[in-house]
Amino acid sequence: VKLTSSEGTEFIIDRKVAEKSVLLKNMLEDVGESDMAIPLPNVTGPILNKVIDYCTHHRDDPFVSQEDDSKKVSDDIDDWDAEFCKVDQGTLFELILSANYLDIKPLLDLTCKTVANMIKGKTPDEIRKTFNITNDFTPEEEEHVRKENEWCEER
Amino acid sequence: MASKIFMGDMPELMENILNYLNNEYHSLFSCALVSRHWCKMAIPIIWRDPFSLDSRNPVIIPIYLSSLVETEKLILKEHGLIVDFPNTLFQYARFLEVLNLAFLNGKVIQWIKLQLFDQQTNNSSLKHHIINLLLKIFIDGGARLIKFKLSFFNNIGEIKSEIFNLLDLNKRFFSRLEEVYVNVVRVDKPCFDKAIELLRILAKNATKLNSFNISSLKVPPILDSDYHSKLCHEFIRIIKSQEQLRRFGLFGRPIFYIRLNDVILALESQKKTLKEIIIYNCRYNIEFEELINSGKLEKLDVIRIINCKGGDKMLKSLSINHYKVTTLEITTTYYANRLDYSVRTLNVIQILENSGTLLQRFKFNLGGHEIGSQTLLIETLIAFCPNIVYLNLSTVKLSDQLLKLIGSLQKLQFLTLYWLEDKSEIMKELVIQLAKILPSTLQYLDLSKNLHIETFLNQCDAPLKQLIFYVDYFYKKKMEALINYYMKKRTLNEVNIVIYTKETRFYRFEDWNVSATCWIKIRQALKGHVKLLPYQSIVVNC
Repeated sequence: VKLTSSEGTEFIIDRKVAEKSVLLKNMLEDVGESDMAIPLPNVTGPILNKVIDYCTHHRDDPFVSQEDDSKKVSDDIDDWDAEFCKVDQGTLFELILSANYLDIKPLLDLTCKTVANMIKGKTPDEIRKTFNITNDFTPEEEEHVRKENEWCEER
Repeated sequence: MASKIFMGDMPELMENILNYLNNEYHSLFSCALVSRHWCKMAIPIIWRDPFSLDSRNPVIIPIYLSSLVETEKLILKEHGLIVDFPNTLFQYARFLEVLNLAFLNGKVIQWIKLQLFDQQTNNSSLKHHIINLLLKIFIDGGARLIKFKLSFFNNIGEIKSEIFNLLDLNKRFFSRLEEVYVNVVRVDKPCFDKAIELLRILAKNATKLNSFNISSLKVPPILDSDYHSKLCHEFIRIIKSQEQLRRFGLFGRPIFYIRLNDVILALESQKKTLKEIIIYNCRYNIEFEELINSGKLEKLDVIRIINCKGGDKMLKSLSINHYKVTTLEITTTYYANRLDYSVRTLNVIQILENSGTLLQRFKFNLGGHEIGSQTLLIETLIAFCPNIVYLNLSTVKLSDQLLKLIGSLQKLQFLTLYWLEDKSEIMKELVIQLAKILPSTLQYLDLSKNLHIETFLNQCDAPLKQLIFYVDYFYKKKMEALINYYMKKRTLNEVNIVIYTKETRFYRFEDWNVSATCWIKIRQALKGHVKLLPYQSIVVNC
């Protein structure tokens, strides 16, 4: 299967690897056998490269249905996946967007878990600094939110 | 610049991320204080299931009640209850997704006590009034439940007809329900009638259940004829009205008063979707056999039989009818393992053979009794079931054959083993071999009461992340071995240690009956390298 990234770089991958993406799987089923490259205008070359790495490593994993995945925990990341996610923040968010666009649920879950782990245990200020977020609350609003939700703080 | 995911462009992705903080209330609270957008995203998650947090301040009650009209607030004020949240930022009621009526009851009692400084007055009618107000707020406020637990306690009798009318009108309240637990206990007639009314509304409005569970069916025979038939009628209506029921659980008592024949047979209406059956602590019902013998449960592949009188018959039916399972759990406690509760290994073996490569999770735990026909059982597992991810065997002989099985399971991640012990050198040698052959995929190991822990840890090369084991009061060497293992592999992050005493009593970390200084010493020995966690937060069930 041929894929073209947003800059026009061509990638050739096994059909089985491509089919980890539900978007590509459906396209391939609709189009049938074809030499035409599939354009992926929302994915850059370096990110597509990473996505292909992930899909190749997990090519033989069983398909996990939505129903089997009800328990949301973020501390079950295996070593290969943890290593895979050791990238800069920009790349990590690009991976989330690409996994969402290409509909690769396990990659989307992995990258979202990794970001959730970056949030865990942090104060609001630390979260703002980590993700470069501006605090747009008025002091009154912030106090209001704090008062109505401070029961969360009890252990 | 921050990613657009966190700026409001892709709310579904941000929700996906925050969902992984599900039970981390502290972190979710931080998120709510980051910015307006983060607050908008975190608040609905925080307020999904606030009643399950038992230990927390009942301040959520006045926050919900703040949406009441002034006259209602005044009535509460006359009773000494102050609702001091004039205008809340959000209509929190609409975020509610999980409701357990017993927890709601408990939280309201807690709030009244706190407000009235534990006065010994009878607050029963006040409590019922507040529960009715809250239910009205939830229904009118647009809550759409995902999980609902209905216990037949006497307070249900105090729910006003206005609430039932509202439920009838607001179909949305139950329309998204996925999980329902109904806990039946002896109650008086008004309460029973109200509970039946709630079940009737559930049958009508909740048609997308994933999981339906009935528990503690100890209705006394005196109520049998009329009540029993009404109850079964509503259960059958609930089951038959489902579009795609996947899980059915029956959680009872060893003596099972109620007859659920028709209820179980009604499961046939879910034959295209029913995937999992759990029978826990109750008598096996012959109707299960009929259901299974019909061979019509096309999707059934998860079976859990726990302390079930006559459960062996169910296994036999499953094996004769060539059911293939991905998960098979058979558990009996030591005391329950009498003749009627016993399980013949040969029936289990047949299911394992039928299931073959499909089997991923297998628990066969006979509560301290030795598993029969072990050689054949292990041979079967080696020959037919290479894809096991979770294995729990108790009690077995630590044999070369068992080691061969464990070494051959290349996908094994969770292992619980309790073997017959002796203090011989041969046993020690087998423990060393076990430590060496554990697959590199193994992350979780529960060694239960087995001896030779330090020998095991000194030889172990598997990259374990979680470990459970027992020690006696002479634990120093074991702690040293644990630290050495940690230093060697650096993968271990959580342990649970159980102390057992000469009186063969067991004290877990969370059990403060054993001297607190003992746990402090163990913690000091771990030097902060490894987290000592309560058993329930570390144990992995099948």
